[in-house]
Amino acid sequence: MKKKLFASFAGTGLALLAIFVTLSGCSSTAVAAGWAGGTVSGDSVYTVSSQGQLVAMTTSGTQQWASAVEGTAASGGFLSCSAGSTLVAVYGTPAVAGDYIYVAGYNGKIYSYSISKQAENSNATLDTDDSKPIVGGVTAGGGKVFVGSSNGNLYALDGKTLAVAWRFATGGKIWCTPAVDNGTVFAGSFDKKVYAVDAATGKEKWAFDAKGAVVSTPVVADGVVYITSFDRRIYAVDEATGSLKWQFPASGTNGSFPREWFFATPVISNGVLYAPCMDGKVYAVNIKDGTSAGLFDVGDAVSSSPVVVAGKVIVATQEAKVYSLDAAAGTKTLLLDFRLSDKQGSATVNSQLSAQGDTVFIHTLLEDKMYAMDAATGAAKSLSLGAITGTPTSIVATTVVVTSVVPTTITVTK
Amino acid sequence: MNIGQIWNLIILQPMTNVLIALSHYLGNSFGLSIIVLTLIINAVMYPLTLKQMKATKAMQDMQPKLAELQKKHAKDAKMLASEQMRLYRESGVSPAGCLLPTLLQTPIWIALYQGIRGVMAVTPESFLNLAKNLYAWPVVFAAMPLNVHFLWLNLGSSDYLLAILVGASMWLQQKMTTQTSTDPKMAQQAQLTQVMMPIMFGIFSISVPSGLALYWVINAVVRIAMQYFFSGWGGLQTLPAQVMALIPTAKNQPTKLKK
Repeated sequence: MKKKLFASFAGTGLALLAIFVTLSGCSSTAVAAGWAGGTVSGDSVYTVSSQGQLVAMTTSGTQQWASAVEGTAASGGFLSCSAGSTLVAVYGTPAVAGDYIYVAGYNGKIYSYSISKQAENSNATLDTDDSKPIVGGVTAGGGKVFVGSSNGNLYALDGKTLAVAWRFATGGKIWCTPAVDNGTVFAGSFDKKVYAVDAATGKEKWAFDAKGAVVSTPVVADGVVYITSFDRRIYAVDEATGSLKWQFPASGTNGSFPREWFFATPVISNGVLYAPCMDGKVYAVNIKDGTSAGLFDVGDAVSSSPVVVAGKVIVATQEAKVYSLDAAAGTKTLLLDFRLSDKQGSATVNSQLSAQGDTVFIHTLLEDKMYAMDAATGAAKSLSLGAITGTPTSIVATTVVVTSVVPTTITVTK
Repeated sequence: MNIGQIWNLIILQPMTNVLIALSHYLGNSFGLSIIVLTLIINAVMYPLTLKQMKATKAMQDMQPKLAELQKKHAKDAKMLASEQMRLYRESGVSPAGCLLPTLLQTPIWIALYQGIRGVMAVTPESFLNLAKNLYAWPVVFAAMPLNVHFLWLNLGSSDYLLAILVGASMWLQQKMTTQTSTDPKMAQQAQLTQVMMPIMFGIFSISVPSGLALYWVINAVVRIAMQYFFSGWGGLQTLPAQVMALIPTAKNQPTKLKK
């Protein structure tokens, strides 16, 4: 009895440690898995699966080719469950320029693939001595590619060789995909600033002080840069000078802030900025003066960037409900609900949406599927990305038709 | 509401938001926030900790009587168990009293670990998940993202020196509190635990954010201080003698052969 009692004492610490490891160390959020969206170019859609495969498919959902990003990478450290992954996680949506597809890896590397060769062209680690994960995507333009890193640097790389043309240091991690307009690169940082940097030289043009970190991509339109921040505000600043034009909620209006921060990149349609928020609402703001154009309650956090199709904004919640929003008509239409059963868990959408014509492409994470959805009817079919291997040969596509909900439109009170 | 949501609501969310709010009021220092929270946790746990220390002391005091019983009923295991139980009952000692505070602290470790991972944006997934666990306090949004640097540490990454400190401080704590047993087998097991626990926590510290390791070090130091004020240096009193025994002296050096 006594020995048993004592043995239980002796083993308690080890048992507690085992429980600790089981409950927390290997939790789903402890491992970087990625959430790349799809990029449409011509008749093809490119994305990176949760299995670390760059997948090319036709816009009708037939797989064209696939290539493993890096193949195998370092394991996640002690017990292989604390950080990192055995696969290269990719969060940013691939960028296409000419024959190249660019992919930014969480392992701090940039990869370029040749579309014509259907294979990797080159790869480069950003600053080997200070390599940190890349969470945002790559933006290509003018023969260069631009990308931000968790080491706080904004980089311009040569589009062919991936050699660093310049680097610009900020005071915090850069998780956003940079925006490029009129020879200027715009990027937000964890240091609560948005920077405008000369695309040719890497010299700072201006820096705008937000009151929170900025992880969404700045949206540039008609000489104005629109910024959403962790400080729960939307800012409009002059593209040339960085001076504030307006902010939402307007200065001095206490109590009307969103409950959570802005993570996803907003979109503009018909003079209205639609900013999805982690509080389960989409804030519609008139870009002219920053006044409210409507508030859409979509019921769950939105971390994926919406897309505009035929003037309507298609937005997906984290729990995989897809809505069509129209601030002018004041309507919110539920197009598709592909939440899994409670037993299976949530399908989860964090990835940026993309579109061609009336078709919207949505990458779900738990299932690792690419959905092609008709923006008008919500009818959808899907391609399972998880089953795709890295062999760049013809693989029979398995498209699954998804039963969509009957679109139900709700009039939203402004 | 499933168990995960209940966990988030009653443990993870308060822990996360208090960590962030404290950081804001402590000069945007997440390291200080962890230290202060550790002190608060220990203050809240003090009544239980005191109970544990008393129970441990009582268990230690009972060792001669337990040894006597073992000797007396060496051939009758049933009688031995019955007599041991009677002794525990009469002395008012509950073996569970030694374990309860440790068990109660386990959820706090887990919540702190999850909170640190999320707050430090160790992975984008954990950071995104954090948004769901934040209160709509202006102070929380003003403080985010937190300053990851404290002393020489990046609190979002592991640190070897801190891992050594975790092992060392836990060993000292264990050494102070480990019961001395008259049974050689039990004494051996106690020795094993005393060594294995700090080693395992030290190794584990290498692969977790150093913010968590900082909590373990501070917690161990606080517990050492509490133990000292309760019962003195305990097992550490014999440490100088043990160390001295390891140092070669004229007496214990092997005799050199004369040429």
